[in-house]
Amino acid sequence: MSPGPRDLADFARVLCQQRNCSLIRELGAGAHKRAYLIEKDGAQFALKIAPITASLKPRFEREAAALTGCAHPAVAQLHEAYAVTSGNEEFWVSIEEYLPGGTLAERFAVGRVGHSLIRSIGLSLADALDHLRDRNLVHRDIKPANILFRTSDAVVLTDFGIVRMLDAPSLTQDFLPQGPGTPLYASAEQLLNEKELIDWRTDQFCLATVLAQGILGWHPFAPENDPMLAIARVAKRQPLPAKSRNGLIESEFSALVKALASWPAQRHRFPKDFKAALSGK
Amino acid sequence: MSSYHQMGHDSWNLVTEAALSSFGGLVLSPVNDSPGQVSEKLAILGPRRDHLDIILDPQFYKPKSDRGSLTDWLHIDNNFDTADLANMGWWTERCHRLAEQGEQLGVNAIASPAAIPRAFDAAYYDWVIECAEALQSLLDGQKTSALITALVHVPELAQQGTADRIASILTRSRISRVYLVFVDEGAPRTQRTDSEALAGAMSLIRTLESAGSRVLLAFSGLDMLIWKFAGATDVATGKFFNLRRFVPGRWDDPAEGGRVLPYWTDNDFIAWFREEDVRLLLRLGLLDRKRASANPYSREILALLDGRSGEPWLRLGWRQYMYWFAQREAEIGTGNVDVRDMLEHTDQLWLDLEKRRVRLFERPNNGEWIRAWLNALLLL
Repeated sequence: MSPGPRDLADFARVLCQQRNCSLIRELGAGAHKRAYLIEKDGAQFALKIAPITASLKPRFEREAAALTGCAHPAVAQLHEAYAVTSGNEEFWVSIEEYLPGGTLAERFAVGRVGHSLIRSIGLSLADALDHLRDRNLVHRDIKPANILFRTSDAVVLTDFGIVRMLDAPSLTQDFLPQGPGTPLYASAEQLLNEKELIDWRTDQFCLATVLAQGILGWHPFAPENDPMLAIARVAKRQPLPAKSRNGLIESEFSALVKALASWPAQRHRFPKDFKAALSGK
Repeated sequence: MSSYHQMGHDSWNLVTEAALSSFGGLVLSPVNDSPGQVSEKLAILGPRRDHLDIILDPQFYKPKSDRGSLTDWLHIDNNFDTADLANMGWWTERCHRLAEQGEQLGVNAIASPAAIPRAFDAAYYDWVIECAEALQSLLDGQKTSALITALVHVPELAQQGTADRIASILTRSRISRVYLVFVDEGAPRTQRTDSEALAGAMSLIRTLESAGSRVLLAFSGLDMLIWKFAGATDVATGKFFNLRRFVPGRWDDPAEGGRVLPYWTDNDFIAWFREEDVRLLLRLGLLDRKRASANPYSREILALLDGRSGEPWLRLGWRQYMYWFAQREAEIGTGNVDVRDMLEHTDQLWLDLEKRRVRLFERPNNGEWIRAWLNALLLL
């Protein structure tokens, strides 16, 4: 678990008192936020708190705006989000759906996930991407740690912290050599900060990487299990290694071979195409 | 799959020519006809109209000089010269007018407005998509659809990744038809010979088509053969495209005049020959009279040349070319002709010509583009 920001449990307790909630326990920490399990009227929620900096505030606001506009079973539900001042410090507070089933990363860590569940996860999330595309949103950080389970098999895409709104100015600086995203799951256009190529097909690549990893047991671009090699191959737009390609085809996941193409134009063009290919229709 | 008439000066008579009936569509030119004239001409087509896919190309890329009939059209007005072309609102207004104009004419589709940019970069193609989407949103629910007009600078396609980058931006759109205009600075009647750039151009077509876009390659000529090889569904040409192709200054040339010479379109050499060369090749037995006569207009031209009457055959030359274009397009489209085999055969013919020390009237007419095209096929 990432160390994240400092312990904010005391502030979480204050917030809970103000809202008439009970603080149950800390859930964990991300790069910017700490999450706590809270309960109100018998229902459980995730309370997330982040110290606000000038550079982070627009991102928090975008995340909230993006999630507020979404209504899809595989997209995390946001109940509230606001900025609050405590002493001299400003915090971003959000109350989200609590997802008790853990992350896909945890499931991968304890063993392979069955192919039928992988397919089901893929279809649910591809449908979520369709929903996001309709809203001009690109998640940009799909990875096993951001895929949570509501029940044993119902997945939810979370952490829209670096969501890109295609109809709003980009918050990423042009001069940076690499755009936002987790490098191990990022597409070439993210790794190379080619903002003009970012669209829903970027998320398609990230999701396909996650799914292919679940099928193969290794990162699709590095059968040698070398993460740096995987990132380098993706960034150089090298083709999918034959071992991964063959493995996916033999496992009847050839839809992922296309989804892992290095250029967006070579991937599935529309979410419906991806869903149809993934379902074998 | 179809050939389209790229309408130019005084081209309407070709549309109703019986031997050219295999053309499946028209790309209207606002430069050459006013809306009223177009409306009249479309009405005259009668039942043939129902079998044609009629596309309005607004031609915003026309240079500032002589505008022909452009200013008679709703989408061009007096503020064109002073407009802030960076303002999307101005272009959206053009789209409104285009949609209205298209509805009045009853066209099947409208090519989105597109200016010739200073730089063919990602920002330009983003703008192209935005403009096309704005037009499509106005046409939603109507019978008329929009095409994305994309101008692409051919020399830049030699750089690896450029075609994929452009295709990636263009396929972001929900619009499934692309009106692709290849731009360069080539001289009239010269063929493109940069194999790498040509391979990039073909790759762009192939990637777009593979992604579900239907490409209409505008302003094509003999090079239609390689665009079809790459997978272009539709290709457009006009009678003047045996003389020139799309270059930024193309409208600055006189549309017609005394200096326009007739050219023979040769199916075997994949070249345009002047009369002197046709006579020379006939005398040397290097031009297959029988094979050439499969084109009815070639037959007529040969009869005129044999008669030595001196009768001009410019009009026949245009028709000969247009017939060749539509026939070849159909043959490639149906898989009856293998482009690579055809080019290899042609390369041999040019080699024979060289061995026999034949010097054609126009020096650039040496067939070297055939090798470049063959290499482009290899690089694809």
